[in-house]
Amino acid sequence: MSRNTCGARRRIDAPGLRVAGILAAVAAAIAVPSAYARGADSKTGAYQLAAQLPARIWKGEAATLSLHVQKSGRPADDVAACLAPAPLFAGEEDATDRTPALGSDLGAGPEPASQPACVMAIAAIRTAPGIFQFTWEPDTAGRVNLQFTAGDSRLIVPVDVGSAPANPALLAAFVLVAGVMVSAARWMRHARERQGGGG
Amino acid sequence: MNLLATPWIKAAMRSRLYPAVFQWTTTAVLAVLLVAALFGPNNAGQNFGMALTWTVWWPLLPLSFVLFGRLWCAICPFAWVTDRVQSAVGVRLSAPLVLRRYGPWMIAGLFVLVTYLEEVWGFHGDARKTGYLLLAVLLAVVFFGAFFERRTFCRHVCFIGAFAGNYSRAGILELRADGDRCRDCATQACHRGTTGAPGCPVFLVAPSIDDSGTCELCANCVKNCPRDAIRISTRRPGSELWSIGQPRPCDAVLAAMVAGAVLIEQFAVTGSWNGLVATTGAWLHVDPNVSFPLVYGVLLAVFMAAPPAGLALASLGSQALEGRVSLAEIRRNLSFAGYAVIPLALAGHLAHGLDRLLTWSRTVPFAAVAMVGLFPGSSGAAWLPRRTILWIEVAVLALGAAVSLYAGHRLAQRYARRATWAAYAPHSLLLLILFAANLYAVATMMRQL
Repeated sequence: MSRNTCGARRRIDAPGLRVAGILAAVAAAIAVPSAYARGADSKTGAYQLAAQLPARIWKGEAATLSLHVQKSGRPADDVAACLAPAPLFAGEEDATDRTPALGSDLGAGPEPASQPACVMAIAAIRTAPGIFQFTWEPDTAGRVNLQFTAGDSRLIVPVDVGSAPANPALLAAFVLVAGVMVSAARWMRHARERQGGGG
Repeated sequence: MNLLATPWIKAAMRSRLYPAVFQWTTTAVLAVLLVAALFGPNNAGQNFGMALTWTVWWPLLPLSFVLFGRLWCAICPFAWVTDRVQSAVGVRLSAPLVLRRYGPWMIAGLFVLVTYLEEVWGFHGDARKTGYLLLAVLLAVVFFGAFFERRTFCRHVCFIGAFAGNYSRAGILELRADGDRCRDCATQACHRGTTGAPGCPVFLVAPSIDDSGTCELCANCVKNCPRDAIRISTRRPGSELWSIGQPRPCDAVLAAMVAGAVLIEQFAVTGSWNGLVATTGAWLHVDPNVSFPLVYGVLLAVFMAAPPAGLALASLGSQALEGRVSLAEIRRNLSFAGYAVIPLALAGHLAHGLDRLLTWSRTVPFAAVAMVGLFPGSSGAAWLPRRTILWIEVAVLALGAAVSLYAGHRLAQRYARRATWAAYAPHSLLLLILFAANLYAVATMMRQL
């Protein structure tokens, strides 16, 4: 194991690999979850909650969110942790939604019927003492309120769900095809005008 | 009432600023829509382009054809793009024969394709796909503007023509020429154009206009006519349907197809839809979730083919009751009777659009401010309670059914060789079945409340 580590240190001296290493570090930094967002509702709840979110959340892509639950400074496991993502204002798809939290857009998750402890929300899987993990695939973009609950405690974290940009290849193809058509038409028109003038 | 008898309307129509001002406006809006759809948030409710396109423009479009004829086509930004491309590089070839001959059927095919893709690809829920659809239409517009004369795209290709023509026929506005003034006119300025304004963009000659399915009310003929023979008049809604000069089978079939397309859209938002998809999947021996494009394709084909097939059967029954069964007679019967379907198809389309408009368009101002990064509090859901919206839909459908039944009766009086009741009975039955199917969809939504 130590030989492998030393080998890695030697190889990183090469300039190309150094750049690759920097890029990898940047990629890793992007991929690493952001710092904990803390803000437990201590007045009404007995638990302290802290959420751990990815730095970027994209519409249509699954994101893994973690909730750290503590009681009196110790990890707490005797609760059902839930997540209810609610857009801050009703979207087209939410307008007729009769679910709680102003029309929550629940995204992917276990069926509500099979999770009696998390009615109309996403239930968590416990991955370590006091740590609950949610898989959320947003089907809405923009500002979303993530409402984590554990027992009688609640934590609301507003997040911005991003949208994948338009496909640049398709945009380039559009510009190219339109350009070719316009150029061909211009050439044909000039050719016809020359013919007309010559005749 | 001739609107051109009002001096300010006439002056406005003759002005160079009409319809240019409206075209500039709609083109600017299209540019914003395109940018928002391609680069804005990919969320229907928070994307201004999406919200405006699918919750305001699309639902109001059928209503605009009823109130203003095909005026939308005159101010459509794609028409403006066509004109600009044409004046810059246009080759101005004649419209291909295949388009002139089979244009309405190609429009019908494109309408089916767009309806299919809209559901399978989910255009109205995905901003990027809406953007790509707009770009694809823009490419087609550039192509036809660059190579073919006038507005070949608008006349022979645009899929909105599948319902624009028929709805305008049911509308309250018509443009006609005074036959007496035109009789010995040798200029044909309405068609050819003058130095003041180009000729009719959709290849019409004013004196020969006898229905409102094609004219775009661009007023070029008003500007060009040397004899002041053009009038734009109001009329009773639907009256053109039973006085149609030359009924065409393609109009009848298109009306019935649109009725089927509206019906499937209505059913798709009811609780019965999932069961229907599951049953169709089981019948096809496929998983409906995995093979949804196939399942939806089959359902769409059935829904869109059923009303035209019903129309053909009703025509057969009508002719059988009259004692004259021949292919030519059935075709003639179908061509006439199909126009009676238009008000009901329009009512279904309007009802479905009103549902979208009254339920979702409240997101538009919020989406507008979201463009600049502001996220206000919840906008709430619909403008009106859901039950009220559904009752409005029922009222619109009932009105459409009443006009359809009346139009069918008037048409039967015209084309029946012997007994009117015999010609009318099978078609009235078809209209009642279509009305009942629409009502069933709305009632199912009501039960879900």
